[in-house]
Amino acid sequence: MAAVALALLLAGCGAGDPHPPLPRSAPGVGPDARWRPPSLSHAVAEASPVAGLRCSPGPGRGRYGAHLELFAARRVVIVAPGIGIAPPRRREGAYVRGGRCSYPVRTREPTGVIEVEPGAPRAPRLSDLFALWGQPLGRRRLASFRGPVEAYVGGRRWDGDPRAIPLTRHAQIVLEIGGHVQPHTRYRFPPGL
Amino acid sequence: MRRVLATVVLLAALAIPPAAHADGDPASDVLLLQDVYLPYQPVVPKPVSSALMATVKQLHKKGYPLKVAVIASQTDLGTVPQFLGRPGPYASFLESEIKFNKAKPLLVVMEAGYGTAAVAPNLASSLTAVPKPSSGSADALGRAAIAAVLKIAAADGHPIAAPKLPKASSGGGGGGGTSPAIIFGVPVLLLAIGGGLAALRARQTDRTAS
Repeated sequence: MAAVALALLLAGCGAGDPHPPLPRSAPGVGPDARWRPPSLSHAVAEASPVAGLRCSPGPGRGRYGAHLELFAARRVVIVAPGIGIAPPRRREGAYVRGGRCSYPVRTREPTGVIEVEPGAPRAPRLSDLFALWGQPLGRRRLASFRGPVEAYVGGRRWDGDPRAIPLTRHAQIVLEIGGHVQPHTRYRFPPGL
Repeated sequence: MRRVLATVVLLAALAIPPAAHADGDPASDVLLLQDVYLPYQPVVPKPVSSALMATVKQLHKKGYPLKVAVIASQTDLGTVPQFLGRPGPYASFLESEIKFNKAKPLLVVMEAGYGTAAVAPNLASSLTAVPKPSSGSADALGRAAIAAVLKIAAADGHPIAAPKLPKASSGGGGGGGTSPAIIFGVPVLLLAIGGGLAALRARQTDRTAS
């Protein structure tokens, strides 16, 4: 009996499985505009300094990627393309290829991939992205949503202020509010990031 | 006592709700903002990608809102790389992410073949007549996607004229690729030149010695 119960428990885990099972479904995007905050903040529109970060022309050097997933009420909140890119922007479908200038923390696609340029005045943090985005973030606030925010980095719970999460190379960051979603531990980044 | 403990464990196991898995595959986000997802790398040649987008756009105008995801590598799958080579299951998974309150017909194209979701059975079965991509190259995947979309359009009673495409390339992400004559011929020529120069030098050395 105990063996059966233990087998049932373990069957739902799959941790460390070299051949992970195929998930059947995943959360979709939330039903209204709260789950799709726009990418352009007032400060970025004017290319003003934000949190000590400046808008610079040119692609920059040595950039790398971090990945962010957001969930509210177990539905996806889109991390918009074009965060940290000042208009006029060059768009190609869902992608923002460039703009008048860009900040050292930015997004070019709606996948949650964040481009980070090292060499900024200080190590970039998640608060920088949200500041450029013009969206609030805190222990009890995530964009339009209020309540306790759960944060995960590499699949591990981050107990501190989510604003302080460092944007290190290939960091996989998940923020959730209003319901738990099993966080991914890593992400396959596009070439060059 | 053991029976009580086992029962408690069993009940606890049954009470744990199935965890919803986070999303994190790029196509699920891109297809919310455009109708075709194209791979990061290899890059589909511009003539082929433009033709694919135009073909899908025509199908939309005829009243069939098909979304297409072309998946070339695990990078295109983000946090769910295990779907590579499984176009059918991935189509079901992806469709669950992009639908809101109504189903979104979806075509997935991989080197392994085609997968569909929220597509009428007669349309899905029409793809059995479409050859799988000739390879995993971006060009081959893009062309296969066009062929599949045309087939679905025809099966849906809204045929679309096939776009004119340049001759298929054998290369990966680029357009024409390098001629085999250059790939093999240049090293052979250089070796021959080097060998000739070495022979000349040897003769000169012999003459000097004599």
